[in-house]
Amino acid sequence: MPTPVHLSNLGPPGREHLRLLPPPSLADDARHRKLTLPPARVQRAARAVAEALFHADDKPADPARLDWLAADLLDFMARATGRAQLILRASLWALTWLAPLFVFTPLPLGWLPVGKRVLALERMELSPLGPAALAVKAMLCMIWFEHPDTQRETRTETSCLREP
Amino acid sequence: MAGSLQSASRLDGELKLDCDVVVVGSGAGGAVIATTLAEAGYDVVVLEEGPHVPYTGELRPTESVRHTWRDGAVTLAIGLGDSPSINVTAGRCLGGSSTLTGGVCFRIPEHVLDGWVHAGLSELTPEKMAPWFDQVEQDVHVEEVPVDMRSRGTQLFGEGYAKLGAELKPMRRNTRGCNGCGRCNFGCAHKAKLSVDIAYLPRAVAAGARLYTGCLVGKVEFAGTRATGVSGRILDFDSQRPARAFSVRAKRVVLAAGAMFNPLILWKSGLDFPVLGRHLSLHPSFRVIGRFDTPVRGWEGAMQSAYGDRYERDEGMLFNSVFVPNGVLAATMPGFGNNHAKLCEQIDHLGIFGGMLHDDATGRVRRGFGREPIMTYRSSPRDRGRIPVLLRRMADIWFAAGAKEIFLPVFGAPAQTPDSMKHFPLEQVHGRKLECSSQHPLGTCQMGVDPQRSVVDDHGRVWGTQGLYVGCGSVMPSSLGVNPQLAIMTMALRTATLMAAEGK
Repeated sequence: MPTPVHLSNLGPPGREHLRLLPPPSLADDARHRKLTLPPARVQRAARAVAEALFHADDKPADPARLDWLAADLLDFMARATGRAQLILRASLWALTWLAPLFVFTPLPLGWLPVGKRVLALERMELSPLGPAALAVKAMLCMIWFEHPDTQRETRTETSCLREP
Repeated sequence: MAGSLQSASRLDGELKLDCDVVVVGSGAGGAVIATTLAEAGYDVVVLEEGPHVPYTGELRPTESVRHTWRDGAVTLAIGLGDSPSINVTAGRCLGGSSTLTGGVCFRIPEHVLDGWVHAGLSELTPEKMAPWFDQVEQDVHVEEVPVDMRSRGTQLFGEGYAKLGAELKPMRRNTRGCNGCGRCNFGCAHKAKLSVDIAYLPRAVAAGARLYTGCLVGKVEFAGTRATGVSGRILDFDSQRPARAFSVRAKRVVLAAGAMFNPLILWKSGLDFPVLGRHLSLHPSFRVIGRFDTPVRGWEGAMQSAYGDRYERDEGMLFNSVFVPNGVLAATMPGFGNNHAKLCEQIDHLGIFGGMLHDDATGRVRRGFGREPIMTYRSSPRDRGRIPVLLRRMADIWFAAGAKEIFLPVFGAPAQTPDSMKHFPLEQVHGRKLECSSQHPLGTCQMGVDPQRSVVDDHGRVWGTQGLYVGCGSVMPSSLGVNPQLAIMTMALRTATLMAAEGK
């Protein structure tokens, strides 16, 4: 059996070795891709769900934060592969058009008052269409809870166990 | 001569390369093979589909997901019959999935290796594998997570586990200088997790390897049965759609694109085997959340620091400490509006632990439309029957630790108290209502001794070909039952060393 050999003379493994992998230039930086955003109706559909999801204490969610959320979700979708976009858009479509049927109202979700939207989405979540509700809810929640104001309100500010 | 790292998307003109060895994929398998061969004097080219994202520490978790995770984290193995659909996370960046792990390093359990030896892989005994493990553990700096690095949630689960007569054991991880920020899955903010983009690929470049990102390999090229290189498309930088063609001529080809993509490349190359794409193991994993009266702040501490293996050997169940971003925790809370908001107010009081099944590898990768495969998963009756047992055990542990309520991974299910849990019809919950995830796609190009029952031999050589190797998690002959990154790196080191011993 050949014996594994260690030929590296770079010293112990660690972040110091990263100097050998040059960071991407601005032109190669994935953050600076030119994006084709999904159409505005996708943003409207996401916002309609978010308004219901984050309606707390019978008060509407902060509109500025909802705007930020919807815009960031679109950025996420634009960077995702075709299949991810398909799943998220299909889920949003299901929430927009099928969720209202759970409250016997054949209208787009965004046309319903927020209270009725909440009821429709909660019923859909418990139905066999629950995974579609979860897919959208997961994306909205993940982004929403990254907002500094949400973190402050929910006492979930990012922190490490030890100081770096 | 030092090598290079370049984005193929930004290169002008045709990309046509010649080399000794071309490695497809820069994850835990590909990086180790590329480094080992480059240091042995081979001219190595590494092709990676994803981008180089060394700045994950500057990104929010969802930004990291959109830049470095495949499919924006919505990759799914479709559950068939009464099986849960499984969300499979995988990396799509330089370093592959090793950049997304919690850093957990397990050696392949002896009883698993014994099973492989029993199946004819006589070189894979625990004794013969030990030097390979030793080497990789040195290369990636495997160390035990100190007890004081455990999050409060892990401590509580450990207290409950102890009350039921067992002890959590410290995890071993590939880290140096971890501060316990609990966000390993989204790229270590301090580069303390020594994923292969830190521990191996710089060595490969120092030894002359050429790394290219943005290269989607389509197929292996052959002259007769001898592999002569690979061809594919360079991804357009902005749209990430396949654009210009590229080709690499090589004396040897190593596929290390993972369990999801290696079968696609082999099929497109005109190869097929009875078991190609079959025996996909996913280690189906389930989270159970405990709610406490006092703050837990489970994100403060190592994301993965301890495990419980009391039921691993006999029942194939492993408990792993874990934490997920608060947004994901919020998403698992049932309801919308006021109901959801009330539950979310308690996020800092939640502890979370994972339970993982050592599955029977009953998944399958199939050809899909376009460039992505379709994964399906039909749980064996044994695996399906163990899911409610696993979840009840985890609930018992949380309640023993003092949790007031627990949240099961059942879509829309309300919180359960100790009393209500006794009557919760967990055994009757349909698979499609179960929230299940996997970070460990393995198999589909299994190693074995019979071409009818495997895809590669015990050196990683694809049956019936010359110069074509597979070197990643897809070669695992069976499910492992433990987090696989160390096993993948170790098997890759073994394959690369055997390749080097064959000479140029």
